[in-house]
Amino acid sequence: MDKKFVDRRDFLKAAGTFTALAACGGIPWESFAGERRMIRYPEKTDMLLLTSRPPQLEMPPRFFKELITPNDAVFVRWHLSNIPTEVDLSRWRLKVGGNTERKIELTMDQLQKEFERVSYTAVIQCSGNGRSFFEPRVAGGQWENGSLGNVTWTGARLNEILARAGFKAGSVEVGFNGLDGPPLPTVPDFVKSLPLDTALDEDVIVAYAMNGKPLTMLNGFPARLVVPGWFATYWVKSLSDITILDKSFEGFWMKTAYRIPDTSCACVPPGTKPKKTVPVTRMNTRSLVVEPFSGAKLPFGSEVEIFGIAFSGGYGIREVTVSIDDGQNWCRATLGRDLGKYSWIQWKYGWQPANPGKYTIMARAVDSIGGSQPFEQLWNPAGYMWNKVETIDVTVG
Amino acid sequence: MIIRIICLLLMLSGSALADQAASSSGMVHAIRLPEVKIDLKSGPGKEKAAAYCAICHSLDYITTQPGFAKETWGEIVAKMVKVFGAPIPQAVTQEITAYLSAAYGKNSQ
Repeated sequence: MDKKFVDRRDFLKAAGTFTALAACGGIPWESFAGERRMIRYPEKTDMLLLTSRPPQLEMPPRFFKELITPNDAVFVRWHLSNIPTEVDLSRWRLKVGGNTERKIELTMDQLQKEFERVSYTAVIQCSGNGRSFFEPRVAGGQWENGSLGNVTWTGARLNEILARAGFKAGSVEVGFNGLDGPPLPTVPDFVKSLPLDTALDEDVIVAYAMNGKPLTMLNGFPARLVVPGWFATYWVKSLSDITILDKSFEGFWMKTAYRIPDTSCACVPPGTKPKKTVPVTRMNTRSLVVEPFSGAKLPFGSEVEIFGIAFSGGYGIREVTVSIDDGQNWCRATLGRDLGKYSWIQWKYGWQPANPGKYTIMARAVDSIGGSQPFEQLWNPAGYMWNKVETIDVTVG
Repeated sequence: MIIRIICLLLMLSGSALADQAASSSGMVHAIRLPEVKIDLKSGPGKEKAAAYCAICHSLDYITTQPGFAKETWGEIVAKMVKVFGAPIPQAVTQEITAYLSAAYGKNSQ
């Protein structure tokens, strides 16, 4: 294993121990202002704590080395404090109603046996992933890169479930609600909606397994919506109610929250407010440099393997190019195993530094329809869709 | 001292604890969420900020935010009242805003 990477992991371990010591009163909590603590929640590994109630837990960076994110490392993001902590599958039902021919209720057994079992690997990413990198800073969960994972999902097609209920003419959207609830009656319940044509896409599923195992409670046990290519805000967890709508859904989490500027770049001049907004939907194209990490000191004389991942909003990745001279010259990276258009793909580039010194590494992905990444941030007030080309500063020798 | 030792044991047995915090018996799957204690920085208004904000969310929602200007903290507190219906009296919102911008403001970190 790469030494510099071990260093990072050891640091994280140390940070976790430090946190545990602090919990025991050895170190004042104030020490953690502006820092991030490690914490362990049920069915999860040590995660970076953003918030505890409701939980928002970030995946530690070392898991970006994995092609598939282990279930216990997949990030956690709930919106409302009353999250489900106990589900009795003998009583849980997936209810479908609204503008339908009939109301149906499905048990987990029915969901698994009466519908075709569909499986694919797809990136799951929070709309606010990378929010902490925006300048000026914006309010909200201060994610670095780790509200992002790559998981093999298994479930039943949503369009087959909807067909069983028989949606009526005039249906325009489909609403989704889960078992979580607000802490006060005045707090809007977390309900999301999809346009009907998106809901009918054959790749949209109600997933009951992640990486071949039941969903962890914090990732939406027993079933969640998976809308591959779209940001995870639509992937409603602990799904319980699907409602076919004959008009646009007016709920807070669609009409007020999770919105981006209605401009061609989905951005506005930093610090300003957009005139008009639209819901955030499909993910934009992104690459991450996983190794080396920024600030790394690399020995002179040996080849440096630059390694990373890239993904798009469901279009696959055509190429990743790497620059080691601050963006002046670019070379193609070698792409790894292709797990399909919704998955992230690993890439690597072998670099033999000609001289000792300081270098700035960049990586830029291009998807199959030409979508790529900007060299400047595309600022928006909520801090969504961060995909700026990363700059990794390293010292050789 | 005994507490320290217990804490050390808890640290060492972290993974075992995590396993105990999740259980499946028959058709029931359950987890037990950890208690996470967050202390705010001291200052006038701290108790009110802690009490009112914690009605709906943990206090790390405050401590993990970047240092905002007083105006921004004011907007955030106003949003909690107007959008989410936080039952905070008007005078107390000003007290909380003053505390947040002093303890977690632009020049405080």
